[in-house]
Formats: sequence, structure tokens, C-alpha cells
Amino acid sequence: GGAELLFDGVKKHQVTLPCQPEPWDIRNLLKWIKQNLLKERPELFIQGDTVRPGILVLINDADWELMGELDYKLQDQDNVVFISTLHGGVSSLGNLTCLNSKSAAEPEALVQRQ
Amino acid sequence: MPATCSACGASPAALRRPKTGHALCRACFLAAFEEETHQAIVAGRLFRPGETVAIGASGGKDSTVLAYLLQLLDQRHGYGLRLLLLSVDEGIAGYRDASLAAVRRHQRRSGLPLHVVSYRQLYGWSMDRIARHLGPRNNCTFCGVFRRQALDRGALLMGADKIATGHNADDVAETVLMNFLRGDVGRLRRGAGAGPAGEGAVPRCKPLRHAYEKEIVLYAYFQGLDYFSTECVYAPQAYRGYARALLKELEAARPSAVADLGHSRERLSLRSDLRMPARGTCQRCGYVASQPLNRICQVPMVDSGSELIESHGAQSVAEKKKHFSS
Repeated sequence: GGAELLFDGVKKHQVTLPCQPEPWDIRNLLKWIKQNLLKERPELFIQGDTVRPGILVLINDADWELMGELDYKLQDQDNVVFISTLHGGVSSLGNLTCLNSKSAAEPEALVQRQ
Repeated sequence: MPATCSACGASPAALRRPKTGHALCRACFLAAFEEETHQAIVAGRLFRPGETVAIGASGGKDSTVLAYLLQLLDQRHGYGLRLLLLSVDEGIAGYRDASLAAVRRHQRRSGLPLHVVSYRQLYGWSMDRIARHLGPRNNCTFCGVFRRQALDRGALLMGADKIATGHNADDVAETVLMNFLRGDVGRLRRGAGAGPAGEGAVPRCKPLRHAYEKEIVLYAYFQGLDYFSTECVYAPQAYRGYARALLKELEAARPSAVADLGHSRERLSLRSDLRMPARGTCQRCGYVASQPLNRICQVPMVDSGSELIESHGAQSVAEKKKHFSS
């Protein structure tokens, strides 16, 4: 399965997201993270359809509050950083790209840990 | 797409400041944060030229930012301070060792002298051993009292006039909530303004007490500061967790809540007919206490525990001062 999304130290992930009819916004990204990256205790990171209070979200080094929060539409090469104020760790999803699916089956998202 | 910085009008904004709602770019935010800390230090008359200040350094984000900022502002504005790093090793496996490593890295980069005091050295007991002996409900209280003493003793050893800690606005707000929730009138009153220092207690200050935790985190991130925090293994049982969760929800609904709680605390006036705990000294060990025996000396212990009390109260603080100055 995918790598763990942890908050104890700096973790960098290069993420390639599969193409889908719905646009990739932060809301969908969080769902994807929950399904693919969080191995345990998702409630430490996600509450409902947003991040738990105390988790900061930066999109290209800007507070997501300025970018539309959950509604921000992800663009190629975007860099999303999550910082936990409680645990102090930083986890970043960098260089987000959207795969163009040429085959019938949808490819799995690729996550490479740096 | 993001807004333009309201200060310089040139760069795209990187954050919206919780207190003011202003959108600032990275550079303007860093400058504003540094300037505000400087103003808080000057307005609060926290330091005098020539003073030696021991910075309580845990390796975490608050004390890392504090140490970095004090060194920078001291150089920039000529406070005339001698700065030191002081760390406490409580003996909590898996928690303190890693954060002490972060302090040592900071020490190497900053060139500031570092001293580490450990519970094992001072008291003969580590927190892990205390927790096994007492159970999880009492150990945080002991840790708090021990840490306060450990910082005082370390500061005396290093010849410091003052201790600076990294408490931020969120910490202050959480403490207000906790004290209200528990009906702790004595602490509510003590918290508001500086009281007289007890015997052996080194004067303290909190230069970051107006700073939002969120901004401290972002300052550290934008400056690329290296820090380490993991929640203490005993923290899930601590009462502060409830106050913290409440504060985070309040902040999400109304960001000024964090600062507002601090304002309320500073303007709090208690009824004059209330009987307040007096600040005195413990009859057994001589350290600061608001009751005849302080918290540690109160706990009834079986034989193996009494050695803990003995080591804590083995010498009065006055004796220790004499010892360190000779």
C-alpha cells in the first residue's frame, strides 16, 4: 500500500494523482490522502471533510485560507504542505501531477517518498 | 490568485494574520513578527542591559523560535544580553532524547552555551520511574513542579539573572480556560501580572506570550528553523488537552479568541472578600509553596517513595545557593 503520512519530522511525498471526471480540489485530495496515505489514526489529521483544527495547510507556501481552502483547484506541479501545530511535524505533497490515462483501466496513484 | 500583501502591495500574500485579518507576504510577515516581539520586550521592560538570560530550550518550536529571535533581536537592537540555552531532561524515553538532539543542533548553529539539567541528577528519579510509581494521573503535576525547580537550579548554576520561556498566546489562553474550568482562583489571580518571586525562584518572562502558536509555526517554517516536537507520552492523560481542543474550535470560529482570552486574564479582578492562598515556603523542603507542604511533599509515599521526597528536599534552596556561589 501507500506510504504513511506522518507528522513526526519532515516527510516529502511526490504524488501523481489519477485523472478523474471530478476536478482535483483540496476536498478530494484529503479524501484521497485518507484512503491512500493514512495508515492509522486518521482522526489525528482529518475531521469530517476537512483537516483537524491545529493542522495548517500551505499551498505553494501560502496559507490555504487565501486560496479558497477546500475549494482550491489543484494545478500541475502544485506543492501542498501540512504542518501539525500539536506535533510540530511537517508533511508535504510535492509536484502534484495528473496522469493522463491511456489505458482502459485507471492507473493507481504513484507515491514516491523522498 | 491569492491576495496581494497589504503591507508592501507588491508580493502575493502568504498568510492572513489571525489577530488583524491582514494578508501579508512572507517577508513582511517575518518583519512584522520580529518587530512585534521586539515591541513586547521593550514595552514589557523584560530585560536590562548586562543581564544573563537562560532560555528554557526544549527543542520544540516555541523555544527554538524564542532562542533564534532573542539572539537576532539582541544583535539588531543592542539589548546587551548574555544569552544561554538551558534544557531539562526529565527522563522520558522516546520523547526527550530526540528533542534534546534538536537543542544540541541549535546550540551548534547559534554558538550559544548550553546546559542540560536532568531529573536523574537532581532528584535521583526519572519521570518514567515516577510515573510507574505514582500512576498516570499524578505524574504531570510532579513533572511541572520538578521542571520549575530544575530550571531554577540550572539558571543558578549558569549564573543567569532571568529565565525566558517560549510560552505563546495559545498556552496562555489554554491556562485561562483550565483555571476557569477547575475553579482555580489562586492561579487565575497569580497568572495576571507578575507576583513577587519566591525564595530561590529565578525571575521569569515569556517574550512570546502575545504570539499566536500558528504564527510561531509559520515563522519557524518560513525561516527554515530546525525543531522537533512529539507529544509527551503522558500528555494524553493531561487535563490541558481538553482546554486545547476547546481553544482550537473557538479559534476556528473566531480567530481573535486566543488573544482575547489573554486580555480577559490581564483585566480580571477578583472579589476582595475571597480568601487567597498565600505565597510562602514549604515546611519540609523550603521551596515555594502556597500551603504548609508543597505538592510533592504532600503525597504520602511508601518507603521507596520517601527517598524521592528526601532527594527533592534534601537541601534547602538557601543551602544550594551558598553551595553554588562558593
